[in-house]
Amino acid sequence: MIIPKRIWAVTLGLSILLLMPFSALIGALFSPSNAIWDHVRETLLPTYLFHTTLVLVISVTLATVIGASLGFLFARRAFPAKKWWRLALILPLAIPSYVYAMITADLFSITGLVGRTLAEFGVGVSLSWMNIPGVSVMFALALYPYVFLLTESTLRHHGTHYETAAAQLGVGPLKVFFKITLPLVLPGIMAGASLVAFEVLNDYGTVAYFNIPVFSFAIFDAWFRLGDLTTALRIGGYFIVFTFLLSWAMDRLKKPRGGRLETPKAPLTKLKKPKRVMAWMGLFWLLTTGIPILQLIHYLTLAPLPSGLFMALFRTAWVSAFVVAIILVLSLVLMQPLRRRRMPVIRMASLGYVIPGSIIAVSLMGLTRDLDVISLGFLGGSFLRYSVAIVIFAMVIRFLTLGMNALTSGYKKMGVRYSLAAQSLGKSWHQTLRQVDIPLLRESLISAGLLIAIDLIKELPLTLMLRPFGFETLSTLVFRSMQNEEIARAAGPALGMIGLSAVALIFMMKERQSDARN
Amino acid sequence: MLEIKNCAFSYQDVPIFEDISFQLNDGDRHTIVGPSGVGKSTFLKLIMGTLTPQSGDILIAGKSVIHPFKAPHQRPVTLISQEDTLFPHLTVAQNLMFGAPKKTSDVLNRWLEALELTPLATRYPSELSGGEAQRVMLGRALIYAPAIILMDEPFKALDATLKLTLIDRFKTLFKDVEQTVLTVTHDASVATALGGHVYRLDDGRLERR
Repeated sequence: MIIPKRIWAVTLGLSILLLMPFSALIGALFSPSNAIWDHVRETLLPTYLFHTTLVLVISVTLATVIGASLGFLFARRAFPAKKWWRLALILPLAIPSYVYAMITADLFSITGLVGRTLAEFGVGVSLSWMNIPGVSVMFALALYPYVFLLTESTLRHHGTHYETAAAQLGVGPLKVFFKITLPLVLPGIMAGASLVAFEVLNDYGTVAYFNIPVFSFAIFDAWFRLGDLTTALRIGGYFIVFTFLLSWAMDRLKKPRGGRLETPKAPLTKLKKPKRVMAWMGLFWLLTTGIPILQLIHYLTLAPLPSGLFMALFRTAWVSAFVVAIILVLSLVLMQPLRRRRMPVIRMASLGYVIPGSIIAVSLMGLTRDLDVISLGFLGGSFLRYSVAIVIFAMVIRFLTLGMNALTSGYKKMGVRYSLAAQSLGKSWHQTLRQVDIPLLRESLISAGLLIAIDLIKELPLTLMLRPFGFETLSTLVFRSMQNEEIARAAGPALGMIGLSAVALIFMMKERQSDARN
Repeated sequence: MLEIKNCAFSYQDVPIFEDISFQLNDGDRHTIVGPSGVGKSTFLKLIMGTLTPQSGDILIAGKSVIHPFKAPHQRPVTLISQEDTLFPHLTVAQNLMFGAPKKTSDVLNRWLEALELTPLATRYPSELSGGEAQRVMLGRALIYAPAIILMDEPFKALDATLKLTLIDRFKTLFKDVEQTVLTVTHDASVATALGGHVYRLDDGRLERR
């Protein structure tokens, strides 16, 4: 593949632009200390570290147990209406964890449905969810589908070929599971678990509502309550070290040993007691999806819809669509040099998904503060900070990884032969991209676009920290109502958000199925 | 027409060619044979422009394509690869016309007929046999009509009978066109069947047999 020199230059420039915000973070780490930072470092930092680790361990473990169990069930057993059950059980991906937190806290409060019912039966036990185990359960419920989908696809990819071979060598089922199945599926499980981990670290809405002092909460607290951006940046610096260490560890666990081999598909075993298993799945679906949605619909009858709901719905849709378009175009451009050689700077620029939204937000705050100070003389004040452009830029930084990952695997499947053939038939770089690469990558692009859209619709920390005054999206409307304890008023935007994400999710699953068939 | 002058090329510090020269005149139909891994495909890639020699020069129609460097799409050369490179999202007709300078139905129908591909025009590559796919790839190169056609093991994946039938068809088709054709193969019988001069590539040296 021959790529013009100007494309190399453009990709290098774009990568540097995407990495620029983190200069503020590094700058803050080397700036002189102040009293607030001294206080945070001496008294609060160990607490943030401890709480973040604890929340991470509990939520990732719970989500992995639920998701991997479902993944095994769906990959290895046949039962009626499996396609619909799969769709039903991944719907929690459309429900943000902060919405789960809001509903659960309300249901179990003294005035909530569960609280009142327990009281009527004379059970005076008050079950509080506003603690570390509680917040971890919320994360696990909202995020287990990542582990479910990746475990299922890894198991389906390997088939039962190796397990059968091991059984034919006289090895018992338990040993087959631990020696063959688990090592083969572990990279898939860990890939799902790492997505859960990074989503947990990214969250702000849930931990803020439950008042759990973790790193992302601390960054917002330092900036919003203490008004000290430098301290927020310094906390971000420690947080990013924590995140990178986690990412490094997860990457090692995700790496398949001995490479990956596609094996022939084998017929699935029928489930022995399908009714019992489906009853359990039905109950689980009620807890994770049915009851929360019914409760939100019930809230709708209790309070009027918040003003600006339809504007927020429209704004969420257009911002998501616009950011998806930018990310896909950017990913296509940035992928071109990577097809020829390793370019660490481009890979670094697309690490955003590993970096929590609060760090990206605070880094951009630092950068725009510096740029606004420089431009004050001739532009007359703050023109970058709190602008829609900065919100969009932050979203691109955070979600570019998803576009790049989808295209990396799409290009890997495609190889270079078609692009080379097109160039040998007289097509230039951009003609090849338009006439050959994009049509062949269509499914990868659509799947990536839908996955990014689902995340963008629910996105909170970046929008909350960087948006201009009056710029409300569905997620900020929900969060504002939650903060004001006007839970019933959060129902409208929450349902709008779930509806939009669910539509994207359904289309994404259809694309995945058609991709698997092809 | 094509002149390779004292070219050197190394891959990851392993020299493939240290000083190789070669010349093709207009309308030549020659073949290079050699064992696997000797650098036959690399030689074609240097002419195509997907690899660049570390020293020496390549001239096409008297002009250097190395100084200044001409990208593959800027060279009057095409490559029929040993892999199936038919675009899977395009039909046989669309694949044939992909590089066509004039995209008219007359041109398409004439070539479909010449290649005996008319009944397959609306099929996708996944619905073709190995021999049919190979014919489409050749047709696509001929319709593009560059000055030089390079063929990299074009009959590798075919059985012996089909190989001979296709070689006959290729020779018939080449009679009606003016292009210079350079084929590389590990199979001496293919080289003999294709006619023209046969060169042997071994140890980075090219010698006429």
